[in-house]
Amino acid sequence: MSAPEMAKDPKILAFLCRWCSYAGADLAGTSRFSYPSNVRIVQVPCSGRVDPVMIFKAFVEGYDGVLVAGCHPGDCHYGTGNYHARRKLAVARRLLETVGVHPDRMFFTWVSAAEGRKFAEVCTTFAESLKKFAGRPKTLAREALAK
Amino acid sequence: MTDLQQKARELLDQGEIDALLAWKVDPAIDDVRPTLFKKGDDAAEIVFDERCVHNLANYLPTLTVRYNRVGVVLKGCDGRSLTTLLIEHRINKNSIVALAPACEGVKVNGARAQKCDDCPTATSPVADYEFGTRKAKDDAEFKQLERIEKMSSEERWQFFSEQFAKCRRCYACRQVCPLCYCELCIADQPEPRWIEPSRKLSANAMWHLVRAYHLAGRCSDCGECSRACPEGIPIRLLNIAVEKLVREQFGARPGTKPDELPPLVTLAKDDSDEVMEEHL
Repeated sequence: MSAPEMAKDPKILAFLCRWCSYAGADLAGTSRFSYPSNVRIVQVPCSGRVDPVMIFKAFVEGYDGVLVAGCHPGDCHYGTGNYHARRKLAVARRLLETVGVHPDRMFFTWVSAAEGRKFAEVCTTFAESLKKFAGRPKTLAREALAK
Repeated sequence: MTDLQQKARELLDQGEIDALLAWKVDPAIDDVRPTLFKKGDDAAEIVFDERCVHNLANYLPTLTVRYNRVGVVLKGCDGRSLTTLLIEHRINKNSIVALAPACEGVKVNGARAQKCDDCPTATSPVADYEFGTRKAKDDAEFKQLERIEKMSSEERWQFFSEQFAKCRRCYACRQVCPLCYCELCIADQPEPRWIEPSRKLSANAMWHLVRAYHLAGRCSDCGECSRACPEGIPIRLLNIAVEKLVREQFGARPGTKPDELPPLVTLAKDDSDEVMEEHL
């Protein structure tokens, strides 16, 4: 039962809110900003929908990093979803940190629908910062199957 | 007869309460046991000392269905659990009479419980009758956390993975917790299966993380989860790690204010934005 190692080419799971950040990612695409292909996107109705259980599961399933992005404070389509998200994410980060998932493996940020460039930058920064973990144990990940 | 026993007798005799939940010595186990008293004459058997570890708030949602009015003897931590149960409408305050003696701390396995050093309110915040002097204390320091906070991520995982690997998934921590009351627990729901039922390390870790998250900002730090664990996993460490955060960031002190919603079901627009922007 050995913990898998963090990859040189990290896999990132991104939870993007339907109204701002997903549209921001869309804009990054249509504006032809390039960003690393390490990011797999999951669209959520609101950043407040991101239950920490989803983040835990992402790490268990072997993702190197988890990105959560939502509308800027005050801009939530539903009024207050992102304020709820901020509290939940703070708790999720503290819990993961406590059991030994490095806090730099989580990246939570605000990306508006107009911030295509910011989205590309966020992905690049995050993917780059995850490379420093290469070779270190991928804590919390599901046990590697015996070969 | 102590004041507590006297009051209990009075309440039972006058029919103010239908039953009283407290502790009495059971010679068969040479220890105290949570017991339901129905007659005033039995009140002399009520015990309240360092052996009374059980969180009696756990019984109240069931008992208040069975009886119109239930009396209950509460330590500080039990009282904080009860406050949260009242806030969450699990119990109607009218069906409870709270007897709150000043708690001097309890012993688990012969030693003073760790939670007692961190206890902010030794007397229950819900109290119809108080006994002894109410002791106010500064905020808990969560001393047991310091050991964890000094470790690197790898060392933390080393420590916690050894602990989680011991988990047999008996869910005693869930059953003993007064605030873990979902009719269908996320660990039991078949679809989506967030937490695998098998005893793999990753599934065990998932269970402990989710359990701690669901208690975030609600946990009264009664320490029952750690006490009930047959494998001796220090489950409480995860809870106090979160409690420290909710106190620092959201100013929440679970169970001490009867009119305040738990921090994760409410929001504040002026919360720190640090968690979102710390990378930029």
